[in-house]
Amino acid sequence: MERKDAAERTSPAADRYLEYRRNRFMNQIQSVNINYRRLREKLVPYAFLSSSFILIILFKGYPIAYSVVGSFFRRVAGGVNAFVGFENYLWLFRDPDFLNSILMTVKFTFIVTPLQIVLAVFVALLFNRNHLFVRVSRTIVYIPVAINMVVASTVWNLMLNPSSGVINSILNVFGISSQPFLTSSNQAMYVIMLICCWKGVAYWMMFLLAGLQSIDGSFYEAGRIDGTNFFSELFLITLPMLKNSLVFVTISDTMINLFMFVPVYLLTGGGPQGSTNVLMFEAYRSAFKYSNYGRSYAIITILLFISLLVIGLQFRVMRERGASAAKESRNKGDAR
Amino acid sequence: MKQKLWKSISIIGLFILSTALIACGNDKAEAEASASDGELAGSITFLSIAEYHNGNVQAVEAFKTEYPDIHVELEEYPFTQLFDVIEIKLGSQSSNFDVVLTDATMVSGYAYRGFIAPLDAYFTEEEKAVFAPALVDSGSYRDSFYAPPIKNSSHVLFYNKNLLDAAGLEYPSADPEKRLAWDEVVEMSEAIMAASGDPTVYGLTFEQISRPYQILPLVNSAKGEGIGPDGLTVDGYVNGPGFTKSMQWYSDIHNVDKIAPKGVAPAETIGLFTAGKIAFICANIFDYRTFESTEGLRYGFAPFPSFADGVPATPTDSFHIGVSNFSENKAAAAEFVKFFTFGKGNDAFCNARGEFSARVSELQKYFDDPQYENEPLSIFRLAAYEAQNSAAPRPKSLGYREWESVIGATIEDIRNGADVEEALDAAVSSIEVKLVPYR
Repeated sequence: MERKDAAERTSPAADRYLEYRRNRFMNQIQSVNINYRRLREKLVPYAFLSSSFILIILFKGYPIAYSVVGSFFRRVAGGVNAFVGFENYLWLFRDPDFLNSILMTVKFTFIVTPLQIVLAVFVALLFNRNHLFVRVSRTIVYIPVAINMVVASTVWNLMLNPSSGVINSILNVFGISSQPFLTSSNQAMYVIMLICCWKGVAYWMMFLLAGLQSIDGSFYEAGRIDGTNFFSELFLITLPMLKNSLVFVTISDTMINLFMFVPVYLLTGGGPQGSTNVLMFEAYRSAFKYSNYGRSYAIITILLFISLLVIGLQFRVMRERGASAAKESRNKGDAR
Repeated sequence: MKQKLWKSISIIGLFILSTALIACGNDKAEAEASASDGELAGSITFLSIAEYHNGNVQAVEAFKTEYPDIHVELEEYPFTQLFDVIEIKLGSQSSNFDVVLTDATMVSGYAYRGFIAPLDAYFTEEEKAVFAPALVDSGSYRDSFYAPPIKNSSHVLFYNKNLLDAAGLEYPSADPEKRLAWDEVVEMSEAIMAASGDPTVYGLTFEQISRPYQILPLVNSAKGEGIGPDGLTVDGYVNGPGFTKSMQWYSDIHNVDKIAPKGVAPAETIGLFTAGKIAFICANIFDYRTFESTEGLRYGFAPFPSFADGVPATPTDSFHIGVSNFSENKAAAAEFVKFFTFGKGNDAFCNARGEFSARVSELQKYFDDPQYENEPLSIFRLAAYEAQNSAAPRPKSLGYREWESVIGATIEDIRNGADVEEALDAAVSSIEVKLVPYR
């Protein structure tokens, strides 16, 4: 009994001490909980991303690394892979075919990409209405996208045959002489550009159309109150509001055009006179025609470098334009 | 946090790079470990071309009868894909194929790259002597025998008798001593086109348009060469006078005289001849079987023409078969190769396809056997004569694929109207740099 009394009889200092210990203990538990929660919050996104990350490493990272490493090797007598340092690169820059293929790749990309985007914007604006006729037309325009590139190239090859192709027959009806098309070094590249545009414009148009349809109608109403016409509406409202879609389309389209291969492989084989010999085809030819994998890997590595450079530049230009536009709009706001 | 992220990315990057490095350097050792000689049993896979399907099947069936313990799997690809398949499969040291069909010009390159195995241990000197020495040479690399020939090949000038009759022209002689000159062929073609009045009828084409196999004999006929004796020099050869003269003629028939059609692929040429749209076609002798079976087609053949001031030169060369260096059953594969090249398999193959044999003893048969006196079988006698007197094989080079790829594209450009000298100079620059690694 006396012992119980003694236990119950505690001094205020001891009580405060016990309270302090209890609080400290609770804080520690709370802190552990918070840390655990924070850790979980940090890890969960990575867990979700891990499957994509692993696939990207396997199917993108590994081949890229393999190409980069392989570009320093060359198969020599007996099928042995010998380390040759930068020799493959040095030979490449002395090879007129390779230098020409860089030129052709740049020419193709820098003509086709803007052309496809301008046409895609135009078609998207044309189809940004909800009439039955527009819906039907949109489907018709989209058909080339659904056609396999191999099939499309084969059909175009038949139509463009200089002797028996239907295109020349049509030209002849109008008194225009037969054109060599894919057999002329002056025409072949432009013909391939047209085929790529025919196939690609509707594809990019769909992304831009989605972007157009997400623009709030109130912007246009406000514009009309301010007295905008078609062009001012296009350049002051539509295109700025379409910026995100345009950035995506520009970058994706550039990448696809830099790596264009199928029409060249099927229609011209890089000719005539190397006029359609783009880097991807030169890399293919190097690996599977010459069996020179080191040279092929070196070309792919250079192509990768060029694409990173172009995409980096595009990002930079877009970001600068975005920043300057935002600054301009802030200044206008201040002035008001 | 950023530092940690970069650290993780660096570690992953290093891991990928090191794996790629190991993969690049290690494949040879793995292949050597897997390649071992087997016994005369088991299964082998023969890689060939779909165009030879009937001949392949006959030979494989004959082999199965003789060697019931060896199972032969036949895998065929179109001719235009064969070399790509070999490069991909044997380039990756795959053991999928045991026996591979290869072009004569590719043997040295494949041997150099370790794609095919030497067959000296399987072929005695007597067995090698069965083939013409030039063909043994084509199948050899650095004193080792790699791939025996399965057939020989020769080309003639086929002509459409109906079109010649319509133009009132005499049929060309089949006598090699009365061989037509290329300029005569041009004159006759112009007369035939004028007489027919049909704009879709042309005078002359080549079965294998713009392919060096058939076009290089033009160069040889003009006393030119495609490559120097070292197999690695083209300057002075590809842009030399013989090459330039013959290519100028090839350009003229397409762009000036316009007796040869443009925009026609090699696969379409035989069809154009059988349809009566071409008066003369330079084609492989085995095409006579197609022409024989074409209803209403009256045709004849004459020796492959040459330049008036040149020398006779006829396309030749054979396909060879070799044993993959990565085969897991090399002994059985080598036995199949022997059977296919000078055993019953070769008879079965040549008979099924109407090919003429690469064996010396068979060549004499065409002169001795009376059945080869009259058309159409007299084509074999003509081919045998050409094989002994005017055969112009393609050059041997370790960089043949590079050479052929550039020369083929250049010939096609010339056909399409490119300036001949400029195109040949560009070809020289392009080939020279690609052959540097082999020097």
